[in-house]
Amino acid sequence: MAGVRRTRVFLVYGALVFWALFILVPMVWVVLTSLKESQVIFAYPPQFAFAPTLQSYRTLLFSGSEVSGLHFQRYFWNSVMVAMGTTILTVLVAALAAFALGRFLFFGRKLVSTVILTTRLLPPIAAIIPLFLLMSSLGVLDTRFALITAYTALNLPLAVLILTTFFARIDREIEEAAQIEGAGTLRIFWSILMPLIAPGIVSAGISTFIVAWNDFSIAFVLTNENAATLPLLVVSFVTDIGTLWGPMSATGTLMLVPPIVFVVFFSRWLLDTFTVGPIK
Amino acid sequence: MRRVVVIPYLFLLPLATILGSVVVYPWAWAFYLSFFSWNPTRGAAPTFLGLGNYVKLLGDTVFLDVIGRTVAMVAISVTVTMIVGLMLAVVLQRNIAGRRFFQTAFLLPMIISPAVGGLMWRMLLHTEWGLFRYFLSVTGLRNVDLLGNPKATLLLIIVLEIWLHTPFVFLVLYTGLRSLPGEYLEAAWIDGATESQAFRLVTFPILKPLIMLVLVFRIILSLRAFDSVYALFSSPGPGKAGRILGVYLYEQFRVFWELGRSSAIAYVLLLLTFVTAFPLIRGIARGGVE
Repeated sequence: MAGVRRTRVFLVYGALVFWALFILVPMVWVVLTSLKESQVIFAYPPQFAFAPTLQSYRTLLFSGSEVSGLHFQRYFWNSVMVAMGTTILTVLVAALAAFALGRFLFFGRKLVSTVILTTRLLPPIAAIIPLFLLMSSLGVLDTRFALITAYTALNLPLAVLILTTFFARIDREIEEAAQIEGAGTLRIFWSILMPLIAPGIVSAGISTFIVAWNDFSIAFVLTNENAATLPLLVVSFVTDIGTLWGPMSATGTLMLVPPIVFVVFFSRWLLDTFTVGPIK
Repeated sequence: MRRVVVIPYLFLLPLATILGSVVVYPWAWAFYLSFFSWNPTRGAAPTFLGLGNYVKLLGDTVFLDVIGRTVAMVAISVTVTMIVGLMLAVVLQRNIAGRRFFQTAFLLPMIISPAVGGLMWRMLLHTEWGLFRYFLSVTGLRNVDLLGNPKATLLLIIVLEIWLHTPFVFLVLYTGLRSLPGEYLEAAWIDGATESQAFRLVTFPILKPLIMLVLVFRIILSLRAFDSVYALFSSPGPGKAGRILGVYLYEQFRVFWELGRSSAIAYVLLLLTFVTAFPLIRGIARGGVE
């Protein structure tokens, strides 16, 4: 009996370790590659005990434009501004809508929820054609504005969903007390209810930020130079004369930083988001 | 009293403006375009085709290949993802040593850009210096060029999909299992159920609605895969063997500028999505999933 048990524990751990390696090895390999000197990258058999260097990062940050004609700084700021702009706009618009959906009973409320949830199912890769046509007819192709509006539309449904559940949980008495004190609807919304749904705002904000930060397909179609973001930079190190693996893996590694920071610091709230998001 | 009726609509106005102008209006435009032949690089004005684009797609062996390949990719990758995700979620319910480490590791690909994920695998599989080549040589296997071999292309896409998306299944089922009421399982233990019986007769039935929901989401999201595949091959793959629906759509749109035809393809993808999501949408409409 004990023998059977030990074999089972062994098998279970074997499977867990196998899966952890499957998940982690590609990531670790990229991080290691980003710390190698350019000759070491091409070494075969691969070197594991190498002297780490920041050469690739230096190339990327300070002489990227000479090596590849690619300006890391521009891509980086575009990514930061677009992801932040999207996050702020999404949370604000979603909070207004969620306030209406979570605190009022009105004609068409159910229809509105259904439409919002249905737009969440629309495939972004298919939306690139209409989006491209729209943005080009408005003359805003290759601007941060185009990306921010597109990402906001993409993220709104989930954000509304999350925030509505948070609004619906608040006690009605709080609102009534504020009304008696003479506060208007807007004031109740902004000064009283918004602080109460802060955890929801953090969840919705982080998931929105990560989607905007990571997106490739939409940015690929809507931008080409001025507003291009980091995921496009990663891909553009593949050139006709060869691939710049060092700067590419350095960019890939740097791109992991913001999402990992968020997840480490806000993991409790995120678990909330991802459970509320798809399930409810 | 009248104000109370107007206020919720006012608060919904910004949302309606954005979704209306960036989602509804462009999609309606694409629907209209899908009945035309229009290629702006040839400078000609759109010509009306009626259902022409759709009819042509259905008779096009290339497109039917694309559909077949996509369905195969989705079927295999989603099946593996669901089974592995469920198994990991069940195993990690136990308070085993290293649980926190495994939990974090299993979730990581969720926050990685699919494009970066594609590049990670591309580096791993590099024919000359990739870690995978080294791994094969250590285990005594013959060196194979997986990235350049059309026969391996679909397999690589499937592996990449599994790598990227098992975390989602794991997360939802893991948190779902944790919020299960414990009494049922306890009752099963008291009645002397074995572990596999407890899973089959108690855990699985309770978890079933959640599993169906994750399944629907996985199929929908897998149907539209594009960026990871593009990053893995930066092309439709060797011999175009990586042409799944998303890649083909992109190609028709951005490489050949067939705007009418690619709009029709977008609507085929939309149709596939909604057919898959039908049970979910019905649930939403009934208010059960709110």
